Amino acid sequence: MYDNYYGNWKIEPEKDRDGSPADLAYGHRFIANQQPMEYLLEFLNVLVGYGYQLGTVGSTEYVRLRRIGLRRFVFLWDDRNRHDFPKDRTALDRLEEALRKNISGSSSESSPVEVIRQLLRSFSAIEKSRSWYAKALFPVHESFLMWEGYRKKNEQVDHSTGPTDLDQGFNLGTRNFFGRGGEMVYLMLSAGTENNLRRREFIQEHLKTLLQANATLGSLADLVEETWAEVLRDQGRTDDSYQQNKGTLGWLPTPSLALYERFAEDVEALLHCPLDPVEAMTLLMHLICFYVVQYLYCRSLGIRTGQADPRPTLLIDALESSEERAIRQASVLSFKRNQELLTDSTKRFLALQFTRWVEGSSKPWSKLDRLLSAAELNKLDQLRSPAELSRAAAYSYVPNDLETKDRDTIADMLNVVWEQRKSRFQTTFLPVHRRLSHEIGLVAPKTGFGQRYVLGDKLIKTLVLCSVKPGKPMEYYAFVNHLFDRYGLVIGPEQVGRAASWLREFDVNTLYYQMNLDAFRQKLKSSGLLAEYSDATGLVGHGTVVIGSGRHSHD
Amino acid sequence: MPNPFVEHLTRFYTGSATHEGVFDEYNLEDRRYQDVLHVKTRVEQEVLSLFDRPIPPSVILTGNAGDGKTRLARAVVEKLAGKALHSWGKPHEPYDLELKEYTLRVLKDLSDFDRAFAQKTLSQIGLIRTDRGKPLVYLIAANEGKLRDSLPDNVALRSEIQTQLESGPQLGLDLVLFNLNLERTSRYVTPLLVSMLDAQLWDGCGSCPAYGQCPIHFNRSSLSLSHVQERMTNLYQVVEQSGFHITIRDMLIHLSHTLIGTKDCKSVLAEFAKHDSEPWKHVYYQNCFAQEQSEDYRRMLNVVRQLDRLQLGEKSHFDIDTFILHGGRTDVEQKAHERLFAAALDVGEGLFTRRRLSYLAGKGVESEQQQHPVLEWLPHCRRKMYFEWHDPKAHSLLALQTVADFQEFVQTDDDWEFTDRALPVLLCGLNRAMTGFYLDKTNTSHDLFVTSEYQGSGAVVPIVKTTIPARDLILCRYPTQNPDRLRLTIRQTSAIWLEIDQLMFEYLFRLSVGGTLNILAEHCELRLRNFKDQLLGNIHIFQGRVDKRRLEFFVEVGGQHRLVKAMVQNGKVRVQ
Repeated sequence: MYDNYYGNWKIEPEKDRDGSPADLAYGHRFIANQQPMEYLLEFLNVLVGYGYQLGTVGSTEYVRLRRIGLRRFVFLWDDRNRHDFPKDRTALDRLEEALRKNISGSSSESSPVEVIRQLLRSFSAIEKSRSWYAKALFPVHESFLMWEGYRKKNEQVDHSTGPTDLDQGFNLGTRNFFGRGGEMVYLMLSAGTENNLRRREFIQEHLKTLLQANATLGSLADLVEETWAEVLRDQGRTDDSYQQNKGTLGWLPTPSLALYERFAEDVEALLHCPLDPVEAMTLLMHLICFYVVQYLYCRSLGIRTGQADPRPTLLIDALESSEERAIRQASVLSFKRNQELLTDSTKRFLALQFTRWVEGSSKPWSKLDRLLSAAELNKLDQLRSPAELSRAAAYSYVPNDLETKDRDTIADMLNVVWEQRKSRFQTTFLPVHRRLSHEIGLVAPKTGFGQRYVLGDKLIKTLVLCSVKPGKPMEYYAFVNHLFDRYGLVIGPEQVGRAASWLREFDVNTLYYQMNLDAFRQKLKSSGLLAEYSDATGLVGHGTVVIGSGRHSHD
Repeated sequence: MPNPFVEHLTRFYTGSATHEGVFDEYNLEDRRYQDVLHVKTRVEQEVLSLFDRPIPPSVILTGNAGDGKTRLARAVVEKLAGKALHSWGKPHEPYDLELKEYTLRVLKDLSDFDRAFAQKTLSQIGLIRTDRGKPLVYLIAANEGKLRDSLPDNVALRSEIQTQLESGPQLGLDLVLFNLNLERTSRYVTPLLVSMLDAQLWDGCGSCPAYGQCPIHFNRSSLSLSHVQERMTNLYQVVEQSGFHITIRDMLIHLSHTLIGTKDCKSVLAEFAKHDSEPWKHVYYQNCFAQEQSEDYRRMLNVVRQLDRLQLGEKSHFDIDTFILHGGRTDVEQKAHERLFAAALDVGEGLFTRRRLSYLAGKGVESEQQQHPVLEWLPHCRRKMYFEWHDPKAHSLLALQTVADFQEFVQTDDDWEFTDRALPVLLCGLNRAMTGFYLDKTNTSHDLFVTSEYQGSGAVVPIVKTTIPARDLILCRYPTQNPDRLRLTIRQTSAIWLEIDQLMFEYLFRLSVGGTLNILAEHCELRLRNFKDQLLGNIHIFQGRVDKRRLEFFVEVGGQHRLVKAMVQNGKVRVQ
């Protein structure tokens, strides 16, 4: 369907390859179940799985990290449904038995194995709504990375069952949560560094340094995993290739966007800051998800306007809990418009593709039929007749300069596809931007009609670290303008004056934007990111100092 | 006949439309009380003496609004011109003074100019000459914010300015910067009070009919007492030691308010004529905290806002309250009580004593639920005691428990005593603050544990990234000249430090004894977080000490926080 894409268009075997409208418009793919931390974890796993190399974007496979011993040790022991997994409990018993030989202690108060578990468990990063096999650890070291697993409930086992059999049936291929969002991040960063290999190398190297810091913690995680491997070896299993599982990338619909380069620049700036690895990874997660949301908005605007590098509009409500409602309403509207744009642009994109088919082929319907079949959807003859669906609404997405017959065809095709896919689009794709935004502190509240843009403390810190160099603070108004120019964040009157026309014309007194600007300043100040002087000059900075010129090593 | 000096002081009353008295620019014509209200600072003497040189260096005066930058620039111009300055010329243009050897170019406020001009000017200092070939010497007054924002890109110049901004002027350079923010205004409290209370200024008051009922007169007499001046100075010192810079303008406004409140001669006479005044509500120790004023008005008084943190008089103090109400246990105490609470204007000419006696006699209330009216006098009397009671116990009326200790640490010359006593307490507080765990004192008073922890899991385990022993921590007084706080640095680097002002000291002290003071959390937690982030971000400087096989962390075992040591070697782990 594309002449131009970035990544791996020929992924096999996957369902939905051509079928999902959201995939076609935004890339394969973003799903709402994937939590922000899972974007980071999936991305890091892909990066590590390619040997810390960005830019491997063809059909080459990357290694998915299995770590079944570690995940049983950390997550299974207190899982609510652990009784449904007797095979795994048996495996855990054997692992713990072996660990007791490797982990000894002098304290009588607590078991040394439990103390080590308590330590590893304190890095549990994905807990909610996940069974033990799909939980994950914070990436404090590369040995903590594990791909999303899946395990069916299993039957009671005979004690004589061999450990290799205990692992059987555990697989890494479900993608309920590692939904390729991390791959998209990998692709965006790869694309964003195509023209700047120095930056690419810097990012690769620094991420490697971060993931290899905390080496002692890494060796503890390795010890648990190794102990399980040893149990397997003792049973005569010498081939550990089963530990490996391979994955292939998805794709982005556009090979180059200025946004990708900005993303890479910001990642580089963040990695330049001297930060504790835990803090660095936390902020990187915020940055990644912020850019995913930026990408979705920019892409939808690009489809709508045809601009190469459009700027989205996100009106930030910095007054938050204040009684004042004017800014809040404008921000709610700004959120709503961006959400509508995501749907609108998807339809527009489909209509554009169908236009090409109509223009290039005498049998566009058979192409559509193939598309539906590839996605294992109902075929055309199983659907309602296109005529039963209203053409009127679909016309707005169809180019005007076509013959009526062709316009009707395109409108019908759009209706047919949308009819089949809209509910899935609305449940699996549309919530992506708002869930990510909420989790990183860009949107509040979590649900409901009042959802609007805000800026949480961690996100503000992330943006400040990306924008302001250590020791070179930026004047407050310059910083606010920078947020607008670079990310489309609208805060004060000056940015409103330069924002999209709907916002300029929206009925909010300038005074309220001034209050909003003052409130944001106060927020920065109370986070220690703005120094205020008696003449009202505010300098935005983060006070980090870099000592020594050598590369940081954290452990 | 109203006292003209009192009328003049009302111009500092920030609630009035005519409070321009506090801005030097508006005082170029009216110089009647200029000398009385002029605070002769050490910086002024240093700056003026620089201009005794045949060709002086360029000078930047920076600080907060109200530090006296414009006033000082004017003093330089008047000294060099040998006459009074009546105008700074056109707004937004530099003021040039042609002298025999050089041209002095004055920018009386850098904020009058845009950023590009300011940056260009700063980068030109010392490099250009005038059309007539004479050196061009700059005198620039700039708010610190504007100055920092206008720093030129030239690395050497930038660092020259930044060093002087942080550590004070270097008189040998071609560009000398005076940061008035580093000045301690508290040292000028007594000289200013002495000058304001000079008998000549109050000559006519003796013949005023309201003389005996005048709170201003009462305040003047009381504020003339040296121990009252000492206590006032002490309050200013505590504010400064808490990290707040008091400007000369803040002090002028506050001390004027302490002296006259919102009164003037006219209002005192009017109330006297109507016999409806309650002058004890306007005495200096009430005015000092702007007790009778609206919140909006109090917000304008910077010093009062800072004093609020000390909660002076607001909290009950058993010993002192007993003394106030019962009059002391010993003869000496009773005599002190009689002296303090003898009938005078500030205690209602006997009104307080009558209430007190009725309280002691079990009279004055109709039911047990009713609060006795004497209790309303307690905050008033506690404040009075802070200023007028010679006993050092008066300091315990401040909400901060460590004022005396902290002042001793800041002023002592005995490094041993200081490190031995202060450091263990601070370390225990720091370890508790930085791990978020209530760690055992015995383990945590000798080393600083720099921990990293993932906060997202709900079961936090702080992992020790490095342990800095007390011998590698340097606790020093800061700044070197006239210290008013402590600074904790690390032997490995001078680039990371924790500023320990009075509030931080109190916060860490309270943590070390097992409590907290919420009003301090906001002030301190963010700075502690930053300190920790700086250490963690530069952990490589402690590289030599890190053993990659060892891991130390704190876990909760049976409600106790225990330091666990794990050694990972050859595929085995040993846990201690």
